[in-house]
Amino acid sequence: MLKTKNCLALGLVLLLVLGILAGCGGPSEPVDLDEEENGVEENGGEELVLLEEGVLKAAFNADFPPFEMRDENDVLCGFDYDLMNELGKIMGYEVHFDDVPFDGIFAGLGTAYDVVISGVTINDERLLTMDFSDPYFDAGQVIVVRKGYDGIAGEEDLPGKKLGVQIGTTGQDVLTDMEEIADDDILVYDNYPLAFIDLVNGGSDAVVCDVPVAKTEAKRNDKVELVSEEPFTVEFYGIAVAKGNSKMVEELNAALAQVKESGVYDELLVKWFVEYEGEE
Amino acid sequence: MVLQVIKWSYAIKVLPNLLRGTVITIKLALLGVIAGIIIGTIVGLIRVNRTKILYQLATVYVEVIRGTPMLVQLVLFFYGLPQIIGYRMEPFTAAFITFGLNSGAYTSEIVRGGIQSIDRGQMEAARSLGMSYFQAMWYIVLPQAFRRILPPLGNEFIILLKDTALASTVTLQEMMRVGQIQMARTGQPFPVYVMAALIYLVMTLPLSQGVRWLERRMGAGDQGL
Repeated sequence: MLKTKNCLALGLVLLLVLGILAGCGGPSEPVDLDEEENGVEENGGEELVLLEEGVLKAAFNADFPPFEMRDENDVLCGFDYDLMNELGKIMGYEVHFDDVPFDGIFAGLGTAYDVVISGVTINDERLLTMDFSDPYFDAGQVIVVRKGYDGIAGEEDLPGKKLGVQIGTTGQDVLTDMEEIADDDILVYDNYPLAFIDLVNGGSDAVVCDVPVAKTEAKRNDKVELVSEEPFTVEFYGIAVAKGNSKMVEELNAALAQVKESGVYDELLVKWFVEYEGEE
Repeated sequence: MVLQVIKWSYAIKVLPNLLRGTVITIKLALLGVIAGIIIGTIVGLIRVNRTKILYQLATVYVEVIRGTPMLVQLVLFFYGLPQIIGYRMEPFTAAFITFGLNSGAYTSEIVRGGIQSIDRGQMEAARSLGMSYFQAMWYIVLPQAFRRILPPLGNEFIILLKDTALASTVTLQEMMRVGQIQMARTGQPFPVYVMAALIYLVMTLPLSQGVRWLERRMGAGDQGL
């Protein structure tokens, strides 16, 4: 049997190991130590410093159609995917994408990838720990229910109902911040596809998500419908970068402005929100 | 590379939420273990006894459950089954059934191994004294087997307790899911998960101590042998 003293020693060793790990900081992916010097003076530096020279590493969670997903051949695609490639072209970098679970996506910002472009809503809470480009998409929250369900006519009907959201999304934040909604009534799924499956299965009364996600789901799933296409919150998507990386924000904004001006942005809107019908 | 500042204050901040999740974790593990012992003992005895049809059924059960990932079973029960049978289980029910079935499959092998490790002569001697098969099993073989079963059984409990983290996938707000939610909100995986890891450790350490204590107690009679 372990003596109390041994237990203490064990605990100390554990803490020590954790402490060493803590020093490394990057929790999701091993990062080359050689790269360490690159980023140190990032804030004041004149030039944009990337994790890997000439390559802009972008992360998203490819479970968020039509912004990021995989097509029938398992190839990454989506609005964010195309937009980021266009931005990379203008900025002069090759863009590499990482498919990362959404709940841990921001942990790798600045250590495993340079930017996160994954339908990320700009909000005050996130602005504390990261910086954002200018907004590139307008997306408020809407309510999706089973077709024919009339228990919910608007956000005022949400309290008391079982509500599905994807973990880490603004949908979850919005519901959590609504005082009248009990925590136990918010069902938190790994991603929206699972949330919609359980909605159809009868596990929840409604799913709360961003407008484009809802519209895409309603298009390809005839068992659900939007309560209203008018969002009940005001939200904008932005590209997240590591806190203090102002040079990156600057370059992204310049590229964004150019993409919008040249008409490429509108082409992408048409491609993903008008022509794209979702998978059968 | 920009080193991220670890905000240890978050570890304290998320503690109450994590502890709320711990209650569900413990409930799930405990019920899973109880179901596992009951199923495991019955299936283990069937597998020792080798009654044809029952033996084959039990073998299929053990092999299928043990041979497929628990996560796959869980997702299948919770998300997949309702589309076939039209009935949706509550998240806790789905998790409980999955964990019970899994624990049962592993425990049955432990039970079978324990019983088969007892010398055949014990059973034969008991039977020759006029005991029925079940009397001999219950009064002579099982008590001896139980002592040998204890260490692997304790191991199984600890594994099950940790595996409850899988239930996060079916929206059950056990400790892992609470941690994920807190992490997504704070952007600080390190303090949140270190705290979660410590709580798991706080639960599993006494468990192994308890099993060891039981072992010693049950071994007390051995001195004279």
